[in-house]
Amino acid sequence: MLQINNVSKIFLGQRKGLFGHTEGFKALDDVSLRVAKGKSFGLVGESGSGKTTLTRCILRLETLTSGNILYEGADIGKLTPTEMRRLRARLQIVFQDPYASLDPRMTIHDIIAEPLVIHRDIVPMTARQRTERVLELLLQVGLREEHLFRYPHEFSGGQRQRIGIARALAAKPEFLILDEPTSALDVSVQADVLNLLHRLQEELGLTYFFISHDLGVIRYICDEVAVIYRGKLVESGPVEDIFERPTNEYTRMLLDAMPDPDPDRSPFRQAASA
Amino acid sequence: MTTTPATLPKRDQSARLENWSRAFYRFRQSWLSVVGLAIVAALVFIALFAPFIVPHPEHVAGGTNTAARFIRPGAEYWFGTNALGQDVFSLVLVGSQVSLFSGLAVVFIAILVGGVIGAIAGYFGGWIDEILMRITDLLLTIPSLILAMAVAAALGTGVTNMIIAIAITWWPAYARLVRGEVIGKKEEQFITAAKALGAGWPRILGRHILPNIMSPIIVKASLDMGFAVLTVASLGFVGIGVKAPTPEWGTLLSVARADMPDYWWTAVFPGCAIFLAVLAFNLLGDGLRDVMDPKARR
Repeated sequence: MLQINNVSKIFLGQRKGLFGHTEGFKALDDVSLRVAKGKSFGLVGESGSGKTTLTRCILRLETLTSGNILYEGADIGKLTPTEMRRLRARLQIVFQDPYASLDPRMTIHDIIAEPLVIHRDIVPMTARQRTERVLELLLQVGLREEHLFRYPHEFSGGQRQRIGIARALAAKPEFLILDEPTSALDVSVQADVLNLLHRLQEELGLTYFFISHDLGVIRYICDEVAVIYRGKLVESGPVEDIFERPTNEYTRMLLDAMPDPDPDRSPFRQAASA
Repeated sequence: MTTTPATLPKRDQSARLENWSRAFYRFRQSWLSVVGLAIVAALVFIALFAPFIVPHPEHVAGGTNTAARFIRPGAEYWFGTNALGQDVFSLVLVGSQVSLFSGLAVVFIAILVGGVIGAIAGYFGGWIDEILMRITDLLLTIPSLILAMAVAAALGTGVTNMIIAIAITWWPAYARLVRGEVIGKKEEQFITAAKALGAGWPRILGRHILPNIMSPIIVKASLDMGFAVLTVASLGFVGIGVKAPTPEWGTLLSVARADMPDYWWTAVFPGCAIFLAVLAFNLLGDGLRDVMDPKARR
């Protein structure tokens, strides 16, 4: 469904003189991967490894330095603005920070209805139908109808992330990019949101591109996983294979660093008893 | 989970109402801003209804009564009479119309022009920004009153020309303010979110960025209203602006200059009116700034 071929992205350095630039930063280096329809694809990497840059490239918020990204065979970089706008209705994103990604001056109703307004040529609706759709989405993500005309600052982090998910789902997309959707939430809320995402995928047949630095989350929700390190893809494959038989040194290091839920095996505990 | 209730919930106004009452509470904390608001409200009332409440409307229209020249302030003529025997109280009251209306028009035009230019420069950046801001800088280098005088002299006198002349010198300040605010906001994540949803630039600018930068613009506008009234009076004083017999505070002051100091009331009362208006708008602006400080928002 989504195919990323040999994508590189170099951010130019500081302007030097009239035409020169200082040495740039290679955020993505020859990245290739494919995401299958109806599956969850996980992308793991530490901070600054290029995960978010890759999502920005998929959404065409950045231009590629080389390579191409195909969505159902169409090169995203070569679409006309109209075609791109149509594609945006089918390809949505949930952002990492639920506090910054909602407009503080808009009501929840207006936030969730916005994709319906923008894509009114694709999903033609009257104002009343839109409100009903928003209400349906609110209930679907586990919020209540009295939340409809409140403002984002009146909600908790987990509720805001649900609002972000409802907004992403409004225009009935088929592909959802989840850019660390749970990393800004505390652990109990993380589980709620992950369960919600899992349920929505089953109900709506969505394809997920799930970005995280948390291996536990990836293992819980993804079918396939790729590990990215300093802009390079170091390993990819089915989740079971990668977690049981990692071949790459960096992947092994990541897995070793995963906290074990068993408190008796905590390294802090062992150091204390020794 | 996909049931649609037959009746939609009533629009819940409580949150918005609560924000308003909270804002009003903050505003009341400083009695000076309440005083400012009260004086501004009184001025607006006077400007709207002056022709109907003044004791001598015939003097406002240009009528004279040379038998009653230079009468001291008293029960019959509260602010005394001038060299033509006109009631100064009536003239000052009606004079508020021109001053307030011109001030409002100047600020309004300045926000409109400066806002559009600043928003476009800030949002698109690059060479569009360079060109627009260099023009803005150019206008900022010229002293505003002198530029306004030059423009008014070129266009001819009159209220409309005076408003245009002042507005030309005022919009660059708004362009700079709006540009800075837009640049600050356009990197926020909810703007990226709107782009990812497929929103075009008019929608992003109008629906997302502008509502989020209104506070500093409103505060600057209310502070500027005072200075606009003062500039209008200054142009009236130097003789560019409103033509007699239409009363205007600066013109009244200018004419009364010849009668000082013996007939002090002809100059003091229009001067007091200018002072009061400028002070009131500044107090109001300060109060609004306290209310709209983003850090004080819940």
